[in-house]
Amino acid sequence: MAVQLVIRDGNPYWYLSPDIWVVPGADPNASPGAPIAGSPAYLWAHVANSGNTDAIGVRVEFYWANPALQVTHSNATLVGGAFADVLAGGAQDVLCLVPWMTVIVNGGHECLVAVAIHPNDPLPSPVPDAFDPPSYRQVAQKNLSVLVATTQAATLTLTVSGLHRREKAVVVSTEIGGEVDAQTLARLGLPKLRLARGASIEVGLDQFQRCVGERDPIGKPKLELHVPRAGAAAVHVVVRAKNLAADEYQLVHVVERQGDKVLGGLALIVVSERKERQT
Amino acid sequence: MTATPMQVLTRPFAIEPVTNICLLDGIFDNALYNLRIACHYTNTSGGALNNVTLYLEGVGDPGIAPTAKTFHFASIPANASVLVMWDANFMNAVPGKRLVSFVAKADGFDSRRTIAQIFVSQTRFDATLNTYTCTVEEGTLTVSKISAIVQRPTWGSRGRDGKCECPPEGGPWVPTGMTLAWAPDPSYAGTHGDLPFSDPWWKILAIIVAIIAAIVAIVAAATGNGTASFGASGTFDETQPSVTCCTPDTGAGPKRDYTVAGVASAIAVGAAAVALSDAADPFWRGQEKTPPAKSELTIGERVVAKWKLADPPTAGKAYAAEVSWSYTRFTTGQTYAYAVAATQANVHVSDGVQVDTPPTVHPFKPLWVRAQFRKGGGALFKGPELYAFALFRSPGDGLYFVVAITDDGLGFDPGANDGVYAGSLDLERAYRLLLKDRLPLEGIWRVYVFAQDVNQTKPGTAPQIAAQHIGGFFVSSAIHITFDPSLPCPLEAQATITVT
Repeated sequence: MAVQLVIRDGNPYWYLSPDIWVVPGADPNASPGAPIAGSPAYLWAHVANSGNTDAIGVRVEFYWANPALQVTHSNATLVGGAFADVLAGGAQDVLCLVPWMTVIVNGGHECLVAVAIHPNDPLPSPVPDAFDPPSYRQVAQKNLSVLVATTQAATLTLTVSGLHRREKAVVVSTEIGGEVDAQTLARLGLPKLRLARGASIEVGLDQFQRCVGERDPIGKPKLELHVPRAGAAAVHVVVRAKNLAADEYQLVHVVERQGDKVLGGLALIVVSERKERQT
Repeated sequence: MTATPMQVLTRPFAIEPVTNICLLDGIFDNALYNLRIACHYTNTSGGALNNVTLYLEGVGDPGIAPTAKTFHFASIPANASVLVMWDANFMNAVPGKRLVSFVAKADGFDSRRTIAQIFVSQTRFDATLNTYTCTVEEGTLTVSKISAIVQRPTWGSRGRDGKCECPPEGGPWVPTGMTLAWAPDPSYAGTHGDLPFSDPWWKILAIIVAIIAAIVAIVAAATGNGTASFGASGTFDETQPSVTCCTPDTGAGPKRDYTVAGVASAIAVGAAAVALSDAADPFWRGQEKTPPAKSELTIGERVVAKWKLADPPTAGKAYAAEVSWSYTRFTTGQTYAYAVAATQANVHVSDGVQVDTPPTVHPFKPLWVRAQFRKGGGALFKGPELYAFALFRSPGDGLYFVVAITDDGLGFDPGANDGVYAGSLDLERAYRLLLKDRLPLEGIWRVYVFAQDVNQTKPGTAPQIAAQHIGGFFVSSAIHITFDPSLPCPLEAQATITVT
């Protein structure tokens, strides 16, 4: 079995890996939390080795991408790398010491990818453009952001990227529901939130950015998109709170599908304004 | 399980891999592309640790590219500090303070991460202006009008009698004066500006410049162009006397070693650090004596310094420098000046070194050396207080082999932190290299030992206090610089071992 590196995918949503987290601020040893736009943050990953041979000198690379559904090498930016020794049957937390400067333009909502590389457990060569975490256990993705919602609609712009050599036709849809585990909530600085009991938010999609008032249509639940090769299309996600309590959250998924295959996705933990970054 | 009780307790330091010297005060300069990130890793527990692995996890600058390497120790005694180092490329490093993380794991414990800080500077040479600039986050220091006692053509030669030798490549220049111009970034109000990296004195940057200028040519000679940002140092205003060495070399060996040349250069330029004083450098003293008006911002500072050395700079000796310097502060309102004439002495002193080797060794048994380095006053340097190494030279005009010597209780070292630094050379490995050059294994091997002090300042120390502690000075060296050609040759073996 040799070396078998694993950065776990999320379950049931593979793009919500529990093995990638963020420590905002200047101290990489501080508590995990949500990144703050314009401020540095440190990225961590938990890498396991389910093989029967020690993996010495594993290189772990960390990437960020603007809010996107299918994250590719083309639309991602390398933050930095780190080395780790991961013993057979063991695991190691890995810290990327290169600070990730979260960009302000997207309000700090970004997607993260971690890749574990070792010559005894190689990835395909050449590396495909799409990270494709479900196909590679050495790759995982964390597309989870906190969105503060009010009765005034909040909008988040996502990128749907085309691939290098071919165009693609995809369907982007929204899904409300699901639960986030306690560790993930804690790592986002939201340790005491509970899942909202009822439908407490509205979510819609649009290809064009617009102002959405309290009584305006929220948008479509589903969009069909044709993305040219090496190009990109924008999707605007509009979220409006109806009766979200201060100690509640609601999980929203925006999923990109090609046929039945999930190419990518992003989850939003929607919280009320008063609970943002509570510790 | 609890975390492995292994930590890096003091700041990691830079080792230049061609010359094996530690750069002053642990500063990494990106003019030298290839540097080693070295540190002392300490067992902080009261017991021995078994099956210990140590590796460098990462550096907080994507422009610094370390090479993955894991060190394995079967056992590390209680309180021992082991010396470990990683190759890294600094060509694209950005000046500033950067984090570096290390991970330790021992049997029975979880892994433990230590995060430390390193300092990165950027030295460049302007051949048109014959000036050097050293850039850090806090500003830029320009060094110009360097006067020096410069090497003579006889430097680089070696004696024929077999008893003494000269450095095989390059030679030192001993600075006797320079002009330093500091441009703070940003301009500042009040008496004192920010210290570089909030730690060392401004003069340390000048010494870094001098060392870089002295060794780029050595690095280029050893590894070719493309391993440093500039290939040759500038010209100097030469002063007398000259640095001299032995008779012309007629029988150069097959392989050159650059360690000796690097050591000589580092000792020589250390004269500038001595002249400008550890306790408070001219910038700090000048700032204190020239407080600007409240409404003014300091936009530049200049120190013009000249000094005379009665004796050549010698590692570990309290040699003196008669120095005079003038400080000028340029503000948005006016110019202030202050001048000093004083005698300064080297405070990085040693009461000598005692070297112990076996008289004879059978082929393929290890050659070993033990050394005790005494501080001024007689106490021994211990454990992580020194970065020390030995040069073993094979018989005749043979090869040099560099071996780290440590006080960690491992190998031939009798005990951790007892003041005995030890190291050994695997003769089987050496023999393979000697065979390539058809050199003999058997015969008289010569042994030379060198030691540099290490900055022991704890992280978090107040800047003006931390600045007074400078590491990286040679406290012991087998090479001696002389201004007098009638004196014995400068490189003398401290011990010999007969392999038979």
